[in-house]
Amino acid sequence: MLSRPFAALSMLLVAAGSALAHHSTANFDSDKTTTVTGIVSYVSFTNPHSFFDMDVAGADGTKQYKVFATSKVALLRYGWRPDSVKPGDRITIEGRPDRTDSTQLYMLRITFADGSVWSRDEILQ
Amino acid sequence: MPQLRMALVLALAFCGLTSATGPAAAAPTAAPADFTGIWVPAERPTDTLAPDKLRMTDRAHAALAAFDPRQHDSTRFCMPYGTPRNTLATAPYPIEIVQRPERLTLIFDRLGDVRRVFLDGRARPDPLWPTWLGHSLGHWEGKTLVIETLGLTKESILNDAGLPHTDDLRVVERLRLESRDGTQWLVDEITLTDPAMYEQPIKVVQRFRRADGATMSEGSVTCLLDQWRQDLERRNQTLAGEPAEKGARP
Amino acid sequence: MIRGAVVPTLKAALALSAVLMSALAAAAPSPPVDFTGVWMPTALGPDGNRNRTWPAMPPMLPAVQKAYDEYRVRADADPEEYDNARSCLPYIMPRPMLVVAQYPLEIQQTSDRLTMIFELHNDVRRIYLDGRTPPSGLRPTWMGYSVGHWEGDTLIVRTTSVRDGTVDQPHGPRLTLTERFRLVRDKDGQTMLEDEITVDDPATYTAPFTARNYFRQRPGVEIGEYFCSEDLWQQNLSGNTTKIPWRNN
Repeated sequence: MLSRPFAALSMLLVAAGSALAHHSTANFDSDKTTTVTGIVSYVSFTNPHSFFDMDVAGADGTKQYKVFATSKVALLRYGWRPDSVKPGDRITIEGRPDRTDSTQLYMLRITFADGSVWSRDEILQ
Repeated sequence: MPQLRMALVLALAFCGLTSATGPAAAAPTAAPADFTGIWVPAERPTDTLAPDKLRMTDRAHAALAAFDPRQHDSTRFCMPYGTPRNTLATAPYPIEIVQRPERLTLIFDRLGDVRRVFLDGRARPDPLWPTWLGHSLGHWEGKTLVIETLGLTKESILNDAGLPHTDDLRVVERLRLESRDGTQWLVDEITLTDPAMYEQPIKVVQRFRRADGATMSEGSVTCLLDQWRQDLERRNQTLAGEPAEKGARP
Repeated sequence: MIRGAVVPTLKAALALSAVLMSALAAAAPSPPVDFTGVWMPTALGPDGNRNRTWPAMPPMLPAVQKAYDEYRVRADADPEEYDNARSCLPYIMPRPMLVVAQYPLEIQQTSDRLTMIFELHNDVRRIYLDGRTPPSGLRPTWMGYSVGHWEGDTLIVRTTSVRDGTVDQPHGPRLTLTERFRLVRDKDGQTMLEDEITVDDPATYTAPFTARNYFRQRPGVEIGEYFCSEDLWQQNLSGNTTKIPWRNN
């Protein structure tokens, strides 16, 4: 589903803060990784950043997670489509949790509804 | 003299190679017309875009009836005008054109609209996702530059009144220079084709007067500053002085 | 063509091309280098090591330092409130030139002008090469007013009238930026665009200092659309009322 035209380029995101252009990622814990699977309820595939709301079922009921990602213009360049994530999709997100609110994640890796995977590592060579 | 002819061909080829490789200087190629400069739109061609003069489909009538500028006009959100509204409805704000042999760049004074018209014979991106400015390819027919723009998002409208279009809108422009009354004009003959909304193509002419002394503003900055002030007011907050970037300089 | 004629033909062609090239050069004195193209900033310098975009800065003057420290305390305590994505306002020079990743810069060079278009914020920067001096009494702007001239293969650009203030690097209204743009080769022989920026602001810093950034040409890349209010616009269209994390809605 996703092409990788830029995998070979030496695109380097040195600091997460710089990569996000101007939304600080300092509030996300770079030492922790959380993986959740759920159903997408809202997609903001936008600039300056993208985010998804997703409902994640757990032992103590369903929780809404908010997943932060980079800008639409950058994701399109990394091979995303405007409809890569749609409401109703079942997706898996691996991300850095917010230090104070563990239901907010900064996306590192996503498994789309069709099973294909995109990882931020692909642009972090 | 085949050798001489071959030598000439090769010589020209070497010239081409030399100028094409490495950081070579720009080879100035004479274009049929040079649109470089600052241009002020003469007027808003509202007459030709009046709904009673258009043959609108039922779908277009419904969209126009539902149009609410507070919700459906992108410019209220500091979003761009989009093509072709940036050309049809931004008078009297100027546009600036930067022309190179392989590219025309149109910078609109308002809201950061920047259009790129590729003259290098490239193909369209595949897939072509809808955008506000669209994807423009151009070629010369004599001294007229013919530009075809596709990939325009249905979220944009044709004019302030909210005339709708679909993602399939096709914009063809014929751009040429004209001298009249001692003034140079840029004439843009625009044909809009969108059968789902309009039963026949819409033809509009927009004229621009050369105004190279005019000053271009800072795109969307004015709009964003207003939006930011409103955001502060909503939250009952004030900052000392204008926010440059949030927090600004101490 | 018979084989024996190839070498003399080639020689003649080379000689002719030399004559033609010099004739062309004489007819149209063009700039020594053309920076036109789409350039992606990269965090690696030509030696392959991390590029020191943000250099060690000289100390600020005491009063400026005090105010800046107070600002940092406020900003660090409330990063959401002090997030630039909240206001969507563009970057102020020299920050657009110092982005290190992800957002390309396009240069359109014409005979008397360099036009820079940044994907981020759709910022447009105009560098006048026609020998003008900046008009007096200019209103300060985000991009400032830039004039440039060639020294050999290097473009020297002087920028003044820059609007007050940036978050990461404070400056005042007397800021003068001097940039040296040139093409360099990396260790693999690939071309990079180097921008060396000297920041001179005696009302803020005790001494001038220099930062560098590097860009790689990306011929296949077209600049995309970055309109920063798109999150608000999309939410308005959808009618959804979820919180946009970086907005205060």
